[in-house]
Amino acid sequence: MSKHTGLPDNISLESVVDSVAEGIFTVDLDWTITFFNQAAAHITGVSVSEAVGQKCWEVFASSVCDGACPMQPCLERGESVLNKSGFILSADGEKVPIGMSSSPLKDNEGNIVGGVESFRDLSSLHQLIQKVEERYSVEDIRTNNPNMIRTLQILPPIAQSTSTVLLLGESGTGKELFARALHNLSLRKDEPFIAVNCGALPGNLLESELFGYKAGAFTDARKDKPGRMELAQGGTLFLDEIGDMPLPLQVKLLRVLQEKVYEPLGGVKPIDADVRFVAATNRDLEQMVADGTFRQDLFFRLNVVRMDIPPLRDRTEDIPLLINHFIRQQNSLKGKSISAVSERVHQVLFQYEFLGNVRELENIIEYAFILCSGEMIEMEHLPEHLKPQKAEVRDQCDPRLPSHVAGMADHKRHAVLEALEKHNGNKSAAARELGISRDTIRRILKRSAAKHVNRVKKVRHNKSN
Amino acid sequence: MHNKACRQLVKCESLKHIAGSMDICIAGYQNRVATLLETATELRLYTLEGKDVVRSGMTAMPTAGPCALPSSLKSMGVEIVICGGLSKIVHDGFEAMGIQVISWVKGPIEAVLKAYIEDAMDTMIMPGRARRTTP
Repeated sequence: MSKHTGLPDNISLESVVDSVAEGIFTVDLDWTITFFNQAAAHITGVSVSEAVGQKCWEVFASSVCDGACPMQPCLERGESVLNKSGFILSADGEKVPIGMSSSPLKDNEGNIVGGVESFRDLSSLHQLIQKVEERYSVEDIRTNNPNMIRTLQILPPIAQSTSTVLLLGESGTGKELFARALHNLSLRKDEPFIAVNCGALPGNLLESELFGYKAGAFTDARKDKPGRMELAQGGTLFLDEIGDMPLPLQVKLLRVLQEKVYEPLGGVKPIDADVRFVAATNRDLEQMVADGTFRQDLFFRLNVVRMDIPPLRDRTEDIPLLINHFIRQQNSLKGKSISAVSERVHQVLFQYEFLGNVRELENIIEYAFILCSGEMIEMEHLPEHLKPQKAEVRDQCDPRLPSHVAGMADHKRHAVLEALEKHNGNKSAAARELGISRDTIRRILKRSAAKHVNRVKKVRHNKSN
Repeated sequence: MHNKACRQLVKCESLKHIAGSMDICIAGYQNRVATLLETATELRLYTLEGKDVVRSGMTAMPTAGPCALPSSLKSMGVEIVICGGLSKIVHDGFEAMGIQVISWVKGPIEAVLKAYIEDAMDTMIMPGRARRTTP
């Protein structure tokens, strides 16, 4: 048995080192590789004979070689470095994540004669982390939220059916993304997906846009114009903001849903509508039916399969997932290499109310990309309204304190009240000025009214006690 | 230092009209080719006329990172980039810009420049990596 290693005489230390899964190599004081085990050869793609005798940075093409080498403190000061992370570049240009540790090598007198570095391929661990982070995804929709997962689980079978789908959710929750997913997973996926925003056009224009018109139907109608219904033949027609559709047009749409035929403006012959309908709204259709502003029969026709998309504030577990998604997206669009947001930014985004939902988060990341030139999105890269005032700094550092959220809500309520006052209570004009929907204004006012009622109740309760 | 490098770059720019001249860039770290393009700290720029270096300059990596490098070098008139390893996304960026890339290069910058001029780049390729030239 060897005195130094404790190994039987017929087993060399080299064969043991060669049998481990971790890559191990040693260098002398000139950074020349003196030993390179089999695992190191496997991970780097460089054979043992090619590696030995070369400078380590010429073999170990890693992110730490230029200026952040873990071997440097070993050779210069005799210090060990543990669990440093980085990546090496494979021959085909793919990044392989690695974890590495280094220690100095000393002779019998204790003089440093070189260094040893061990490293391991973390690709499988990273894939596992990614899977844990992203528990469920369908098409471009990603979530960790149990309610969303349930919704996404039923999405493929719904897509395969021919039923009309009604998507309900606040502005910016991704209703069009769901509509596209329904189309892409359906048997009609190779046919057109046509989207129409029913709130964007006045009634008569929307009618001609939707159903098209025949030459001579009205002045200036010199030739036939196909409507969106015709363009969507065989595919899917997505009717966004269906709650904003004028009542007379609702009747015409109802007929299409019932009879599967329509007539263009000025047309005399019905045309078959081979279209799958997906409708969406951020409005309360049941309330609108009760108010008489939306036809009940159309509501029942549309409400065959109903999918509720939760707002982002009810699925905060998705915020890190979405941040990573938007960072990846913006990196490829803008050619940057931003890796993450700072801890403080995370805290602020977690506490933020996101009345504009996922779209608002996407806008915040896009804004930060304009200002951020490094690898990390910091507080100074966020839009002004997300930066805490001096008095709020203390609260913002502690994610458990809810006062920052309250401050943000108050700020929004003030902005809404100011805009309403300026426009004599006209919600549409105030919404236009603030760049939000009427429903968002209604929600903000409703929430602040509820808070006020609760405060009054609390005061009364305290007085009575 | 950076301003001086920029002035030198402007001089390089003015040479673009010289017939037969070629602008090349070597991505470096402390007088050697950087192990990876994305960890390079300096960009050495040379204008070659035949086998002569008629102008040289240096600039820092763009603050926006290596992905911004193809368009930045294109605007400087660089036709060839010599570097260590580079990720596929940046490689594709150079390809799209029509900039030739000689990757997986190692060694001191002066030696690499000499090898390029003498058409002996095969001696400067990292072990275990085949020379990759684009396009």
